[in-house]
Amino acid sequence: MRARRKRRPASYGFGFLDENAKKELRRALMKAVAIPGYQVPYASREMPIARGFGTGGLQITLALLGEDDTVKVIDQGSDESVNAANLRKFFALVCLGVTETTRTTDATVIQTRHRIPERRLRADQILVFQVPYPDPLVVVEANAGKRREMHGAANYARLWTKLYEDMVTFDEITISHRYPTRIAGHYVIDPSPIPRWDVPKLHMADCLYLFGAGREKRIYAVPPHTTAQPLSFSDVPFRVEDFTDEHGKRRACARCGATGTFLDELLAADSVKSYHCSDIDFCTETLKATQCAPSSKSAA
Amino acid sequence: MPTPKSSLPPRCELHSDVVLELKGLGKAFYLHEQSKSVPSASDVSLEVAAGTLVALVGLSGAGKSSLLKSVYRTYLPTHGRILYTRTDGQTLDLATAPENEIIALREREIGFVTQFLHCLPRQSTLDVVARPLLRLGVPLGDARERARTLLNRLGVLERLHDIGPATFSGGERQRVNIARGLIVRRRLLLLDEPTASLDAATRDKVIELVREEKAAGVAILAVFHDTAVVAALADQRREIALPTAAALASEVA
Amino acid sequence: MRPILEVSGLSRIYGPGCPRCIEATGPDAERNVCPHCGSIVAVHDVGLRLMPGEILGIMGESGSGKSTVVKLLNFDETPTTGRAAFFDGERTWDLFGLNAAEKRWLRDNRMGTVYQNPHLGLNLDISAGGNIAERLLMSDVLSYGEIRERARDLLARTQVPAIRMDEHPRRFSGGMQQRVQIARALVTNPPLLLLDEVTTGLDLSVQARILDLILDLQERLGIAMIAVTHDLGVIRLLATRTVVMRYGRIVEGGLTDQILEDPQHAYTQELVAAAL
Repeated sequence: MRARRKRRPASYGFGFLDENAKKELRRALMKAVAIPGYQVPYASREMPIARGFGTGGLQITLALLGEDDTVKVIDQGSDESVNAANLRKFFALVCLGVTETTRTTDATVIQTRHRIPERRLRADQILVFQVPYPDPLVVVEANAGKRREMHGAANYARLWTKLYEDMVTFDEITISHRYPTRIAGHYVIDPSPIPRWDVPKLHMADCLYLFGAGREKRIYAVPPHTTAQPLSFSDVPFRVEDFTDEHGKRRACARCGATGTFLDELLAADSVKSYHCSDIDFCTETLKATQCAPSSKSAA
Repeated sequence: MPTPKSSLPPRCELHSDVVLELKGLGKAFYLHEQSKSVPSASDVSLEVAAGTLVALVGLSGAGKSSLLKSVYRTYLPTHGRILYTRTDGQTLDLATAPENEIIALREREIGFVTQFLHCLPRQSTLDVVARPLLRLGVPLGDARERARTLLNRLGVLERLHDIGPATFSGGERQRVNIARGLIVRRRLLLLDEPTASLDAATRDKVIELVREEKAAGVAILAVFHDTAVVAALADQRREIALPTAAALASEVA
Repeated sequence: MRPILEVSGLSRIYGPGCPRCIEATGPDAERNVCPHCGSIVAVHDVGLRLMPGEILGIMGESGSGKSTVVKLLNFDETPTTGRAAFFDGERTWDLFGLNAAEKRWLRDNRMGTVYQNPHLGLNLDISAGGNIAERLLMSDVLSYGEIRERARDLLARTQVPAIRMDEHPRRFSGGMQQRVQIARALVTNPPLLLLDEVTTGLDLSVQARILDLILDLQERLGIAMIAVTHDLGVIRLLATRTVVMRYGRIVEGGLTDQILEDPQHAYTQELVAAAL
C-alpha cells in the first residue's frame, strides 16, 4: 500500500467539509435511505474539483468516512485512472487515518463512476455513485415542478412510452446506460450511467447504494434488500449485454479468462479488437486465483 | 272537490283510450329583436283517442304545424297543457315534462313525420330509414330488412336504397321520410302534410299505411293539405281558426 | 334514469372577486369582467345533467365560458364554487372533492377529452401509436403486444390507416390528428367524453367525417359526451340537448330542435338568425 502523507492541511478539519455541511449531508442521506429512490435536495458545497467531476459522490463519501474506514475509488472499473487516483489521494489527504485500497473486498466505502464492482458487495460496504443527471424524467418533461408531481404520483407512463417508441423503431429497447429503474415499487431513479449489466445488482442487494449529484444538488439511495426493477414490458423482458461473438459464443476476458463479467472493447494499434474485464480489481483477483490454481492442483 | 292544477290524478277508465288531450293550447313567438309577440295558435282543446285520426284543418297561418310541433316539443307552448297518457297509464304534460322524458318518448312512443326530410348526411337511405329501429336495439340486419320492405311499399326503387337521400327528388325524399316515420310502431303519430308532394298512386299507398297504423291502435294527429286525404283518413276534423284579435291583443299586452 | 354526470352551481372567477362581481357581470350586463374589481367571471352558476349515452351540446361564442366548463370538469382548472357528481357504474365520484391521485386516475381511465388544438391532447413528437400507448401505460397496461393490438384496433375504428400508426402525428393532416386524439381518448373505454371544439378550424369535408365518426362511436359504444362548440351545425348534428352560454352563464337550455327552432332568449334568437 502506498504511503500516506502525514502532513495535514492546517486549514481543513477531518473530511474537508465543515461539521455543519456533513451534518446536513448525513440528514439528507438518512432521508434518502428512509424513502428509497426519492431525490432528496441538499445544498451542494463548492469542492476543489469542478462540478460534473464527481462532486456529488465526493461530498457523500466525505460525510461517510471515519478514521477506521477503508476507501476505494473506481472510474468505470479502474482504480488507476487519473480521476479515481486523485480522488483517492484527496481522501487520504483530508481524512487522516482512513486507509486507501484498490481491493473491493477490503473496502468499506467505494466511490464509483459508472460501474458496480463484479463481486457482490457485503452488508458492511457502501457504494457511492457519482451522478450527472439524477432525474430520469428530465428526458420526457422539461418542467421541474411537473416532474416532482409525476414522481409523487409514480406516474411514469411517459418513460414507458419512450420504451414503446424504442420498440417500434428498433424492435428492442436501446437504452445502454442510465436505465430507468423502479425502486421499492414507487420511485423510478436514474441509476447513473452504469451499463445495463449492473442494473440487476441494485435489486435486493446486501449493501447500501448511495447516489450523489453535486451539480443538480440531489441525493438518493437504494437501501439493502430493496427491490429495483428496470422498466420493461411484461412481454419484453429486460436484457443485459450478452457479449457474444459472431459465432454466438460468450466472449472471455483476454487477460483473466473470465466469462461472467462486463467487458471493455480495446482497440490495439493494429486495429485488432480485444476484450478485457472492465472491473480491474476483479480481473486481477481472478488472474491471481487462476495462477495459484495449477500449483494448488499439483499440490493435491 | 277542487283538483290541484299541478298534480294530475290518474285518469279514469272511461277515458283510457284517449292518448292525447290538448287543453287551451296556445303558441306565440316573442321576437326579442323587434320586441313583439307573434301569435301562432290560440286556445286549442281537443282529444285524440287510440286508433283514431284527428285532422287539423284551417287556413294557412292558423298555426296547425305549430300545434304539432308543440306536441312534439320542438316548440315550447305559451299557454295550455298537452296531456299524454303513456303506455303504463301515467299521464304527463308534454309542455313541461323533463327533457329526458321527451327524448325517451320520441324514441319509443311519439313519432313525427314532417314535409321535410331532416336526416344525418352521408348515410344510405336504408340506414336513414332503419335508424329509429337501430336506436331501439333492433339488430342491423333485421332493421335494414324492414326498412327495405317499407321503402318498396312506398315505391322507392331498390337501386336508391344504398345511396344517400341528399340527391333525391322532393317526392322521393318525402317517401323516405314517411318510411322512417312509420318504421317503429308508435302510440301517437304526428303527421305534418306527409303527402304534399306525392303523386296520386303514392298518396294512396300512404293512405293505406296510415290506415294500418290506425287499425293497430295508433292515435294520430295530422295536418293534410289535400282534402281527399282528410276525407279518406280522418275520424274527426278540427277547424283551427286564425289567431283572434283578442289573442293578438293579449299577446302584445 | 340516473344521470352519468350532474353539475350544479359551477363557478370560476379569475381574480380577487368582490361582492358585486356576480350582479355586475353576465348576459344582462353584457360583460364578464367585473367593473368594480376587474375579476373575470368566466363561469357562474352552471348546472348540467348528462344522461348515459347522451350527447349534450354547449353552445356559445368565445368568452362565453363554455371551454372553461370543460377545463373544470377535466381538472385542468379548479372551480371557485360548485359541485359535480360523476356516476360511474357502482361508484359516485365527487369530482371537486378528489385528491390529485384520484383525479389523475379518473382522467386517465374513466374520462376522455378531445381538444380543438391537437397539441393539447397529443404529443406530436411521438408516434400515433405511442400517443395511444401512453394512455394505456397510464392505466398500467404493460404488455407491449397488447398495447400494439389495442392501438391498432382503435386507429382502425377512427379510420387512421394502419400503416401510419408508427408515424409522428406532426406530419398528419388536421383531420387525421383529431382522429388520433379521439382514438387516444377512447382507448381506455371511458363512459364520458368531453369534446372541446373538435371540428373548429378543419375543412368542411374533414369536419363532416369527424362528426360522422363521433356519432358512430356514440351509437356503437354508448359513450356520453359533452360537445362544446360555437357551430350551430355541429350542435344540430351531434347534440340531443343543448345549453346556450353567454358571458359565463347558461341563458337557456332544452332539446336541440327546440333551441334551434323556437329559441326563447334574445341571444339565442340572434345566434340562430345569424346562422340562417
